[in-house]
Amino acid sequence: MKGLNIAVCIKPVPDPAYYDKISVDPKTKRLQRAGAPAMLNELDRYAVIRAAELKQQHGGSITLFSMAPDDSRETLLEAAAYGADAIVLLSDRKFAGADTLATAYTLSEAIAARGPYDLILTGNESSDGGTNQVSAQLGEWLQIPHVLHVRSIDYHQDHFVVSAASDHGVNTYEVTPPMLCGVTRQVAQKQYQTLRGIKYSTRIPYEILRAADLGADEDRIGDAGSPTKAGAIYEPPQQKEVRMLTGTADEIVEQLLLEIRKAGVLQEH
Amino acid sequence: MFEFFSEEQKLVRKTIHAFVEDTIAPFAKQWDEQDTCPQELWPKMAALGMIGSFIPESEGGVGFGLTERTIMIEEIARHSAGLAIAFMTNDITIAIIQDFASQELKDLYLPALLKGEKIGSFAVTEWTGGSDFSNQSSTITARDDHYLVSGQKCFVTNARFADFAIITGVEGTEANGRNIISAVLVPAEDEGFTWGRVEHKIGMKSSTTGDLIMKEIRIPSWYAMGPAGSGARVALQTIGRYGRSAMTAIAVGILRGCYEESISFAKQRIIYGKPLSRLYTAQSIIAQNRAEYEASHAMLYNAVSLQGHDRKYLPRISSAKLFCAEAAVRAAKRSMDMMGSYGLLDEYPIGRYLRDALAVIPSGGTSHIMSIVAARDALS
Amino acid sequence: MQQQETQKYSGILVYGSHNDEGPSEGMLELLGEAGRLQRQMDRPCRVHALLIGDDVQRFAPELGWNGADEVICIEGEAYRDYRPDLYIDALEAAIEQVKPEIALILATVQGSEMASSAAVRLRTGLAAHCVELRFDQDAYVQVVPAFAGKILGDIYCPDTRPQMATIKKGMFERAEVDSRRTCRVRMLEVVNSRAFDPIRLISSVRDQKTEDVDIGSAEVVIGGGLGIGSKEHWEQLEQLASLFHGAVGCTRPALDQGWTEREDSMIGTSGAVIHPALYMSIGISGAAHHTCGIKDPKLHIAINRDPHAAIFATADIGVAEEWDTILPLLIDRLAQRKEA
Repeated sequence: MKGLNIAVCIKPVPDPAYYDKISVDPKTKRLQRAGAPAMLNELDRYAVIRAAELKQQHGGSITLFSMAPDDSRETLLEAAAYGADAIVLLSDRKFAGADTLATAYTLSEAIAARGPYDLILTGNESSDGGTNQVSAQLGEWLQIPHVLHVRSIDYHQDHFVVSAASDHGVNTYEVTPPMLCGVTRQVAQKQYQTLRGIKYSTRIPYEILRAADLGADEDRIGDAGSPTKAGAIYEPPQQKEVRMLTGTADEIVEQLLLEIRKAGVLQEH
Repeated sequence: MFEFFSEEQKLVRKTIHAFVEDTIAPFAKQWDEQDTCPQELWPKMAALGMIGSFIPESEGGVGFGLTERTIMIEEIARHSAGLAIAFMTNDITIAIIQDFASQELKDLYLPALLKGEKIGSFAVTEWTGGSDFSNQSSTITARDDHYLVSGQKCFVTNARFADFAIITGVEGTEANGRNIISAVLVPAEDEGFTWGRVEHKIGMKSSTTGDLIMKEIRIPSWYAMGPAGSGARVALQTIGRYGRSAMTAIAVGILRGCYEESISFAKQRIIYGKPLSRLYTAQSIIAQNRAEYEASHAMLYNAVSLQGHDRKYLPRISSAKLFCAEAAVRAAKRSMDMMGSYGLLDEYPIGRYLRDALAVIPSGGTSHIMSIVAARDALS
Repeated sequence: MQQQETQKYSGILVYGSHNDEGPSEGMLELLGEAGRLQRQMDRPCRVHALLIGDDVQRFAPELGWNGADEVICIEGEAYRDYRPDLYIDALEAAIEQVKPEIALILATVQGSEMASSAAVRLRTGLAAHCVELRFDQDAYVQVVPAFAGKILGDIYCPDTRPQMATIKKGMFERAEVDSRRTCRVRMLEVVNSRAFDPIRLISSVRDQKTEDVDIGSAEVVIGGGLGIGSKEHWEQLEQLASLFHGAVGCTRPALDQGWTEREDSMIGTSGAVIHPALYMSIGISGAAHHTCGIKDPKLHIAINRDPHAAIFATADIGVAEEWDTILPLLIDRLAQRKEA
C-alpha cells in the first residue's frame, strides 16, 4: 500500500490567555493586541496529532499548510514536531485582508499545487475568529467531500470512516478519498511533542510560497478576493457594576436568597 | 537571561514547560508533603525522550546536548526541585553506563533506562564525606570472573526504589600506597544488597535519599565501569559534566519560582487599599529577584555552552553553581520577607522553595568546594 | 471579486433546524429578526423560510405564524438524516431560486457547514455568528464577534448577494405568534448534480437529551468551572439546578476534566448561548471564551474565591468566598422552602 498523503491546515492565533489585554485604541480605532504571543490554534493540534497517528498506522506523509505572517516559523515547527514531513507557509502582503472565502481559496490553490492528498485535516474552527467557516469552504474550493465537527476518523483499505456531530446527535459516514475533515478535540488524545519530533521539525523542508509562486487568480486573494469588508471595530459595551456580598456564610446566603427572589425565579408557595 | 538558544532549544523549553505545567506543577506540593518521589512519571518522561536525552539516536536516545538537558531540568525544578534531582541522578547513571560500561552491560540496562522502566542511583558518598574521595571504605574485590562488593554508602539519591546502584569502592592499593578506586554496577535485586535508613530532609523532599548497605554482593566482572582505577574519572567527570550543571539548573529553576511567585503575590495582595506591587519595597524585592534570576540564567547557559571544553567549562560551571545556589536561597528568603506572615504558610510555595534552595548547596559540591575550584582556576 | 447585479436580489431567506415536533426555537428567533429587518426596509421585502427534511411541509403553518411570508420545502426520504452534500445542494438551490438579498442561517453544526459551503458556490460573503444586524442608511451591517466576543466588528458585503450571516441560537427574539397569518408554500425539487457521490451515511444516532432541560432556553442556569474541583462536587451543582428546575452548564476546562459528559452544556465559544433569568457561575474565572455565551441574564451571581477573578466584571452580585462554604447552605435553605 502506498500510505496516506495527508495535508493539515494550521493557524497561529493569539494566546487566548491574553484576550483580556486585547482592546481597540479609542483614537486610531485599530486593534491593540498588547503583545499577545502567537500559539498553535488548539483544535489544529488535535488535527496534527490524529494525522501523525494515521501516518503511523498506514504509512504516508504529512504536509502542513498555513497562511500566516513570515514570523510564524516557531508555531509551525511546534505543530510539525508531532510528525510532519514538510511545511508550506503561505505568506504575502497580497493575502492581507482575506476573509474566509479568500483564505480558503488561497489554501486550496497551494494544496492543489502540492497535492494530491488523500486526506485534508483542519481544526474545526480557530479560537480567534471562530467563524467555523474555512474548513467547509476549503473543501468546496477543492471540490472534495467534507465533513465538519469530526469526532473520529479511521481509514479502512480504500475509504475513511468518519463520525461527526450533527444537530441531533452523531452521524457516521463512509467516504472515499480524497476528503476533508474539520476536527474537534474528540479526534485524538492530547499529547506532547516528543523531543525527537522537535529535532526533526527543524530539519524538514520549509517552503514559503508567495502569491506569485501560487499563480493564483489575483481577484480571488486578499482584500480583492473578499466579498465581505470590515468596517468599524469596537469593544462591546458592558462592565456591569458588581455588588460584592460580605459577611458570614449564613449572612451571604440570606442576601443571595433575597436577590434570587427579586429575580422572580423562585416558585412561591 | 541567556538569549542565544537555537530554534530547537526554544521548542524543547516550550514543550517541557507545557508538560511540567500539566503533570508536575499541580502535584509538587503534595509530593513534598508526603516526602515521596513520583516514580510513576518515569515512563511519561521517557515517552517524550527526556530521559537520557544525550544518548545518540542510533542507541535509542535523542542525541541532544547538555544545553537541552539543562533546559529540561530548569523547567522541572521551576515547580519541583526534588523531582529534578531524582531525574538528574538517574541521568547520571545513564551517562556513566554510556561512557564506561561494557557493551553487554549497556545492552542489558540502557534500553530499559531509556524507556523509564528502570531507575538508577549513584552511590559515592560515605560517612567520611563526599569530597574526601580517595578515602573510601567500600571494597570491590576482584575474583576470577567476578567481584565481591561490600561497604556502606550514604546520601544515595533514588534510594529504596532504584533498580541498581553504580558505586565506587577500593579495588586495591597502588605501589605508593594510594587507594585504587573503581566503579561497578550492583543490581538491587542481588543478594547482599539492602537499602538502609531513609533520610528525612528539610528540602528536595520529592526525591528519596538514604543509605545503601552491601554485603559481599557477587557481580560478574563485566559489570565494571572501565578498567580498575576508573572510579575517580567515573565519579568526578560525570558529576562535573552532568551533575554540577544540573544542580545549577535546579537553583535557576528555584530562582525563577521565587521571581514569578513574588510577582503574582505582589499583584494579588491588597495592602493599605492597593496592591502590594505599588509599594516601592515590594518593587525593590522583585527587581532583585529578577536581577539574580537573569544573571544566574545567563551564567548557567553560558557555562553549559562550553561543554566539551572541560578546562574552560569546569571553573565556569563551578562559579555558576556557587552564585546560583546562594542566589536561590537569598531570593527565597527575600520573597518570604515581602510576603510577611503569608510567607510562612504552606498554602504558598515560597517556603518549599527556600527549603529546596538550601538543599541545593551541599548537592553536587558545596559552595566552599565550588569556591576552591573557581579560585584555583583564577589563580593558576 | 466579480460584481453581481445586486438589484436582482430581494427578500430575506431564513434557514434553521427542526426536529420531529417542529421548527427549532432558533429558527423562530431568526424569523423574528427577519421581520424586524423587513420593517426597516423601504422597499418590498418578503421573508422566505426554508425547510429541508423528510415530511416537513407540515411545519409550514407554524413558520407563517412566526413571520414567514413564504415557506420553501425541500422534501424527501434522502433528507431524513443530515448528509452535508445533499443539504448544501438544497440550500444552494433554494438561494438560486429565491435570490434573496439577505440570508440568515442558524449557526448549528449543520447550518454553519451549509452556509459556508453555499457561500463558496455562490461566491458571496458570509458573516459568522452575528450578534446584531441593522441598516446603516442603506448599507446592511452585520456585527460579528472576534476574540471570543472581546471585540465586535461591523461587516459589510457591498458587491455580492445574498449577504449571508450565521446566527447562534439565543441571539434574537422571536416575534409574537400570530396564528391568523398564512403563508404560501412552495415545493422545490433539487437535482443533486454536485452531490459528492463518495459520502455514504452509515449510521445516525440521536442524542437522548429530551428529558433534560435545554440549557439555551433554561430560566435558571448553574454554571460550573475548574474551581469546582471534582466530579463528586459537581453533583452539588446538579442538586442546586434541580431545585430551580434549571440546567447545569459548564466551561471548557470543566468539560475537559470529565466532571460532566454533557458537551452540549458548555457555555460560550463553540458552545451554547444562554439567556436565563438567573445565572449562577460557580468556580468560573470568567475567560472571554465563557462569558461571551452569557447573554443578558436578569441576574448573574458569581461565586469565586479570587476577588480579582474576571467573572465579577460581568456579574451583578459577587461572592468572593470558597464556593463550598456557600453552596451547601444555599441548597439547604432552598430545599427547606420546597418542603415548607
